[in-house]
Amino acid sequence: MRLLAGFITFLITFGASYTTWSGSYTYNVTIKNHQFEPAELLVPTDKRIKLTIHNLDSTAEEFESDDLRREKIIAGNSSTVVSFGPLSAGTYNFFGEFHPDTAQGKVVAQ
Amino acid sequence: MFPISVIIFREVLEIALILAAVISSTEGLAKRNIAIITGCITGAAASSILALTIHKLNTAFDGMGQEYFLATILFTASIMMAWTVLWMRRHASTLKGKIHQAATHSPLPLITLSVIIAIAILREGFEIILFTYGHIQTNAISWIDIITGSIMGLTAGSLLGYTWYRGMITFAGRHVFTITSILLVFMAAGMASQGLHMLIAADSFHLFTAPLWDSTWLLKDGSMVAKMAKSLFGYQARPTLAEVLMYAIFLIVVFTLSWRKHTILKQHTA
Repeated sequence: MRLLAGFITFLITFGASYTTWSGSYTYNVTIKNHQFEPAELLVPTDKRIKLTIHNLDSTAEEFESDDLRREKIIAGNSSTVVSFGPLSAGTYNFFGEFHPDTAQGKVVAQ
Repeated sequence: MFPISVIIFREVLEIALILAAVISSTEGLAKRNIAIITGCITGAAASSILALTIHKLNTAFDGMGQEYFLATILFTASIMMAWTVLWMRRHASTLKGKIHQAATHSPLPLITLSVIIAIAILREGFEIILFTYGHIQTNAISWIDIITGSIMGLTAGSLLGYTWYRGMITFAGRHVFTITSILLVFMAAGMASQGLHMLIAADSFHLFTAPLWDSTWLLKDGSMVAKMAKSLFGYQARPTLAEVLMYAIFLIVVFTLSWRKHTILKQHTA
């Protein structure tokens, strides 16, 4: 058990020391009427991306992307950050899990 | 009504799979039911608190509070699961499947059991609350639809979870304790690697984060089967090397400890 705890502590401290590793590219997306705006984001490949999501609806949404492997709950009328990358060239779909009929978008890395 | 029942069904099933494994692997533990109920109530209460405070969590730690929080509860749950398995292996008599009376004075397995259940419920519960509350807020659907949808999802999820639990016990027969313990270790390894994935998502862990393989063609993330495989074995269609290493090391460490404890016990009884 101690071994395991030690290993996890190592992982966390090692990871934390890397936090300021490199600058990242920042983008903004809003959610309004359960739709993403812009619904398509052009991002560079091989860069770290920070996506700030502003939920202007009064209801919560879950930003979800199987392609980017991210899922994050955003409360109504609030903002949060989703970080991903470096990406290889391609299209990465994302959607709002609570309103998948309308909340659809994609990240295009090129 | 339909999307509510589907979401609740999926989340409840995930909770039920974890519950089934921890419950069947702690068979014979005294006061187990109290620990289970305590875990359920704590998990439900914590879900409500988290649902109310999620906006604050999301702005903490440069917007990464949610990731750090989830990483913490995932690591906690995985360690508690491993701990429970090791404790049970040490104290359970494999012949009777009953815990020695002397060993039951330790409150530890009861606390770990409660914590595991509370975390399982918290992880899915706050999502259910926010989703349902959003639909109430917008008056998108009527109360009747929300209530029937919730009941349908809850019933279907619990029934499938219970069927899984009964099926596992019937199928495993006399080896139910061993099989569910092994399953629990795999679940715990999956949670540990998901915890690490949360640190990667929080942009605070950058070692070996390139995808190692892509088995989307075989089992697509987000599908029902993939979600179950994720709960049971930590399945990911595109895992990073870091997560695979975490998973493998976790398994090796816990199985080694478990095997060692077992032989020590055998020497004692011999």
